[in-house]
Amino acid sequence: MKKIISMLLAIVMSFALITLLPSCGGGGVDTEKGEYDVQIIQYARFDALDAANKGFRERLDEWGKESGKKFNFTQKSAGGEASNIMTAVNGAIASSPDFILTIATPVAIAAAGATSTIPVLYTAVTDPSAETSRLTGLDNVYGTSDMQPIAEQIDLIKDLKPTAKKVAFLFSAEEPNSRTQIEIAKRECDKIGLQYEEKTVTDVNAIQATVRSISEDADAIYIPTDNTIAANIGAVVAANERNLPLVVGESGMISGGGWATLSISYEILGRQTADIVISLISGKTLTEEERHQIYKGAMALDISEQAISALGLTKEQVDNIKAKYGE
Amino acid sequence: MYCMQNLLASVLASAINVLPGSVAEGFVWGILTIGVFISFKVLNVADMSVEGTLALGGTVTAAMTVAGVPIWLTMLVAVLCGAASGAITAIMHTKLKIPAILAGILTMFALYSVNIHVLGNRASLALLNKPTLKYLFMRSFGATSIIADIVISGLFVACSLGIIYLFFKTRAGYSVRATGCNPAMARAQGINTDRDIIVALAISNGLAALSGSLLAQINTGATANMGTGAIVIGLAGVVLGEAVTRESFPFGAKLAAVILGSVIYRVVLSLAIQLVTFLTMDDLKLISAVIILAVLAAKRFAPKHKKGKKRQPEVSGGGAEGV
Repeated sequence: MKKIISMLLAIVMSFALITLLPSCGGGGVDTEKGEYDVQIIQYARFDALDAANKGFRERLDEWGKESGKKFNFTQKSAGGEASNIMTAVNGAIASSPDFILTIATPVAIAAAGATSTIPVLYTAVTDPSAETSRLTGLDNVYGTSDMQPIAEQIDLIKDLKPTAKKVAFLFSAEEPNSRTQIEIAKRECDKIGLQYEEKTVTDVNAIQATVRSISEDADAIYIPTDNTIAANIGAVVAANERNLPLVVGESGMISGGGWATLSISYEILGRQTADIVISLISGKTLTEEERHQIYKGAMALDISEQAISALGLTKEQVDNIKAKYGE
Repeated sequence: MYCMQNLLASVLASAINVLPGSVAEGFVWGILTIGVFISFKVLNVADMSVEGTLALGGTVTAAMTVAGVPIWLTMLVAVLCGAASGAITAIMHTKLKIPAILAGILTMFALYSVNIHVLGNRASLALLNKPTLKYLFMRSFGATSIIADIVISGLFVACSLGIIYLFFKTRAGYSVRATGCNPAMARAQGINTDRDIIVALAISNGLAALSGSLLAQINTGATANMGTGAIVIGLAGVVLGEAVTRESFPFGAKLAAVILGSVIYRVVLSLAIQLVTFLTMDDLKLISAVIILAVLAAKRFAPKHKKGKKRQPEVSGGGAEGV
């Protein structure tokens, strides 16, 4: 037993020693290399995050074939837990890669805080400048935000129901994220001349009463990506006796009875992130907007059959709306 | 053959790359492990509150640092908040006679909401470019992230170990150990066992909060659920620490061994991931379960040591016997 202990101690101490040796930093982007090592750290396994991961790799591989560069990807996941972030981030940095791609906020901020030399790319971070991330203003950090297209979703109300004059915002009072989204929605309403009213839900049991309290002159309901409402979208549908169009913040709510939404594609978002890497390797100097990008790709229109029949939309009209947002 | 050599070389290289990071992790989680050792082994109480108090340590440090409070003060407040939560669990257990495991779960549940409020009604808060110990260390000495992690966590785990060791050498410390060993006998000796349980759980959760505070600084941010899985990590360290010591070892050595246990756990996890390339981080939980199982099984079936006259006690995982 003693031998084992002393052996383990020796191992631990020798590795502690190795770390005290100066390690070589990345130091900017080498534009001349033929092969690039990319460490990908994904926070957890979600379809959206997997899609961003896939889009990123596919775009780089495509470009690699055109330009004769090769990309070696190493995948790491934090399994959705804070206890594994350090393992994943330190492991990625230890191999001194040329780039680190971080998918979702917790791993993005951990990697950005752990290296100031290796270029760190992020994606699927909702608001990189917000208090929850603070990724802007760092010299080695670049990436793309997955903020939902709120302004376009508001525009969609007018596309579905051109006569709409007033929209009711339905969200829960406790969720700060919903409040942020509603502020954006209000600005867009002001811009396109829609009136609005706010209907906040304080608890799950009050959802139906709140929906019934929506005023007579409201023509549509808008629901942001609100966890409480999303989990109880059925209650909203049941209380929506006047059959007001339900434009929602994300496509998950469509299967529950939401009418329509516009959403971003995480795969395209991943490709957009890969384009930043390509610009860096090509030696471009990036502006602040190019370093921290909002989604630029095509948006997918998700509309339920019920919505199409209730609104009396023809297939052509639906296709026109789809075409307007880039599909 | 050549291919084999190549593979070995690359595995060795990646192992060397990963190990320093694992040592730092072992240290950070080692602080929590000392706390879990106190509750599970010394006091013989199954305390689940650490999952909440670890996160509380992180959220308090994050929120206060963002508000501009100096980092040492945020860490002090984090430890005090953790200790207070531990005391609440202990009071539920001793005064209201709620089973310890349930009291701990209640605290853990309640703290989840508390943590969201501490973060200002958010689920997470970032500490990028805020004056955390890691940031200050990297700035002042031009150190890399891993060196900063090792030095900071090493310093705190060493201090925690020293302070806890000294505490258990005091009258109050012996009293806590007596309470854990045999509460009925301790009471017969005039020991206030309720008070001792409160003190021990406060210390245990204070350490968990310190661990969380450091973790938030190292991960550059805190989330309300960052304590998820903490109890498993703490127990793994305790069990592995037990595996490398014997019953006859002095108390101080057993205490120090849990930190070694925590480091071994992280090192083995990282190595397993490096060696078995078809496994990914997604398999981390499975690997941890197998490692702990292997250690427990090894100890069960290991030949009895020839030198020791003392009997080898059954390994109990959850800590049926006091220390």
